Order: sequence, then C-alpha cells, then structure tokens
Amino acid sequence: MDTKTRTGTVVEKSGSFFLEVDDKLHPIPVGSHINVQQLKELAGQKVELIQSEPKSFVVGLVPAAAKAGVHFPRVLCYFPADPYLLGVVDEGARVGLAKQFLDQGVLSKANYEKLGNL
Amino acid sequence: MKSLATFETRLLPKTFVFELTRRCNNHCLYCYNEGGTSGVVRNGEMSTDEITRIISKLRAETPVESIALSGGEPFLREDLPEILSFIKNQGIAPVVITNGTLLTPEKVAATVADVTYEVTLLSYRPDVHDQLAGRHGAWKAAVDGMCNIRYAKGNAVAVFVATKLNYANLETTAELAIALGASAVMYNRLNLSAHNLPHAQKLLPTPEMIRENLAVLDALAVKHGLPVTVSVVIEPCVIDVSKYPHIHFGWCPLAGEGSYFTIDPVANVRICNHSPVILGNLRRESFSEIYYNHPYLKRFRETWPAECDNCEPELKTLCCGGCKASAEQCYGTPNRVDPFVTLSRVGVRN
Repeated sequence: MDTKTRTGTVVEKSGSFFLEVDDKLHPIPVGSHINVQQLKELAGQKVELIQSEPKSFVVGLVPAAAKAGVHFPRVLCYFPADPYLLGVVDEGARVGLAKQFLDQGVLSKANYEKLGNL
Repeated sequence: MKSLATFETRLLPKTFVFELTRRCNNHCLYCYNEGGTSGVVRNGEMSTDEITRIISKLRAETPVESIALSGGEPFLREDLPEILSFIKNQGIAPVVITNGTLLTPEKVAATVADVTYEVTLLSYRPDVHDQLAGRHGAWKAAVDGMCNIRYAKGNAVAVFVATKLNYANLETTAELAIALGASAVMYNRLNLSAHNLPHAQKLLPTPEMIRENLAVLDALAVKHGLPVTVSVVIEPCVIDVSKYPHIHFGWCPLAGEGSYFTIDPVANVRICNHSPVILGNLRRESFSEIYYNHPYLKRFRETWPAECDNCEPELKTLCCGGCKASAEQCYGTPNRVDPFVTLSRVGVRN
C-alpha cells in the first residue's frame, strides 16, 4: 500500500471537529487517540495528512507549523474511524498469510478452515 | 499544545477499565498487576448486581462511552455475558481485555455481539508465548480463541507485549495476528511495576530492540493497511517516535478527560490500571467527588519529575514525564521519571 501526502484544515463547528479537504468536510472522531483540547489547538490550522491508499485511510495529521526541525510525534489521529472500530487489513493479504502459516504448520487445518474467507 | 498551567481537569472521562477479578489462569512474567496470579479470590469480588450498580452509577455521573473489562482474566467470571449485555444496554461500548485462553466457541457466541476483544499474542512460537505467559498450552488456547472470534465474525485486536524474550518474533507474530483476523495490533513495551521489576534484567527490551520493532510495525502498517497503536508510553527522549508516522502513539492523559480510570474487583478507584494508588471506593463515594477533590490527583497532574526539567517544552507537554504510575509502583512516588527512561540510559543492574 503506497502512501501520499495531502493538506487540509481542521475546522470546528458547533463543538465538533472536521477536516476540510478539497471543500469537503470529514468528521474527526474524538477518542483515546486525540482529545478535544488537542483538536481545539489545531482548529484553523493547515495540517499535512498522512494518508494511505487505496483505503483512503488517514493515519495522521501533522501541524504544518510544528514541522521544522522539531522531533515531534506526527500521528495525532485516525479517521474516518478509530482502529478499534474499523479494520482495514486487506482480506487478500490475510488469506495469503493464513495459507502460509498453514503450510508452515503454525496453524492447524481445523483453525485454517475456521478462519475461512469472510 | 497542552499547557501545563491550564491542563483541563473539569471534563469527566469517557472511558473506564473495570477489573472484574484478580484471578487469572496465566502466570505472565511481565504482568504489572499487583494482585498476582494465584487464582485465589483476594478480598472478595463484587456480585453481578453490585457490578451493574457501579456501572449505572458511572453512567449517571459521567459521559462514559466505553468500558474495558479486565482482570485477572475476565472470562473466569461466569457472569461475563450478563455484565456485557448490561453494558451494551446502557449504550456503552464494551471491550474485553483477555489472555484469550478461555475463548471457547460457546463463550465467544455468548459475548461476541458489539464487543471488541483485546487478545494477548506474545509470539508466533508456542514455546516463547508459553514461557512469557507462564503456562504450557496458553498459546494454543489463545490462537484457538482468536479463530473462534473470527468464525463468529467478531472484532479482535492482537496485543503484543514486547520483552527481550519475544521482540525478535514481532514481525511474524504480527503477520500471524493478521492471518487470525485481528483488525489492529497494539504494541506495548514492558511497563515496569513492583510485580515484574524483579524480572527487569531478563525482560526489559532495550531502546534498540524497540526501534527495530517500531520499524517493522511501521512497514507492516503500510504494506497491509494494519492499524498499529502503541499504548504504553515510549518517551521521545529515549526514542524519536516521529520516525514511525504510520503508528499511533498513546500518551498519559494525566488523569484528565482522556483518562481510563480503573475500578478494581471491590470497587476501589485508581487513576489507571497501572497505578497502585487507591483514591476511593464507588460503593461509598461518587466518582466525581473523587475526580475533582482527591489531593493525589492534583499532585499527579501537576508534579513533574526533576529529570524532565531540561526537556524541550513541546516534548514535555506531550510526554507528561512518561508513565507516572510505573514510577509510583517502582519508586513509591509519581515524582520520579518513568523507570523505563532511567533503565534505558543506565542499563538494568541486578
């Protein structure tokens, strides 16, 4: 999965937070990954998105102003969903790995069949 | 940036951990729980009715959105399905933190709806997993359990606790987690406590080992779209975590809105599941009374380790001095820096 970089702006509306990208608003869920205070501080700022393709899964926001020369953790949030709510692992990759572990004897045939293809 | 002077303490937390029992069928070398793993009920456990009353109390007093049921091993409680149903009926999202060994098809079927399971997977190698779990057969039972979750179309997150004994197995273990249907991987370095400190020399991974692990996970996140979170703080003064942009790093919420206050099997309240300090008891007190008034919380939020005095302000406000609960466990005070920082610099001595 390749990555690409885009920019957006964090917007606050009626107490909720959104990421505005290409004139579209995407809700940013608040949770254990990022809290209201952190988002308030980002509101109005341009941010660089770390976005994975082909899943359109944004894994991080980087405050543009905080980049230069600062060793600063970049990943601030996930959206559109917290990883606990949305798995984005490619099913084809999962099936291939399951077969590999079956062939290596790590997974039993019974468990391999139980895992199946959903 | 969070400001040290104006740290928000007025908003109540939305997430709680409920330790349903201290009993556990594993004997993990790395366990941070001071309750131990004897399998004996220590100081009693609340009944189902008492637990639901406590949950109702939290529901009435706080904006609770999620409760993680932990232990010990929560599946040792026969009433776990009933407790989960009650939580869901309150509109609260449940998480079950489990060693996975009791996830039979029947127990999964009774609990799986709308539940996220956090299942410990310590290695793709049964011998390594079982050594760390302190019990032969633990790996097989946990893998069977994850397969049962997958078969029931449930949601599982695999939890890898990094130690010297298993760090080299991480890449294949994370791939096994993907194969087993895990929707994410949580990576936790060993968090030191009074219980596991005697094993520190044997277990505590070096910064180099953790860097190697983070690079592996960052690459797997890109390759497979695997969400990866790091829950136990990795202090930026030890490792520059900005080098791993596809991993979500967690930080101590300093007993504020983002905290996960923990309720033990007899309703005692602690700041988090790593903290040994009992702040009060929900049988007698309200949560908000403890949250707003307990003097230890003010100290916990506002006192900073002297070792952090010269740290860059941006890093300091993000890192919050690392895991103060770990410092409390190992040194008896939250005013020292996380022992992981100290030991990473000077090494672990006998």
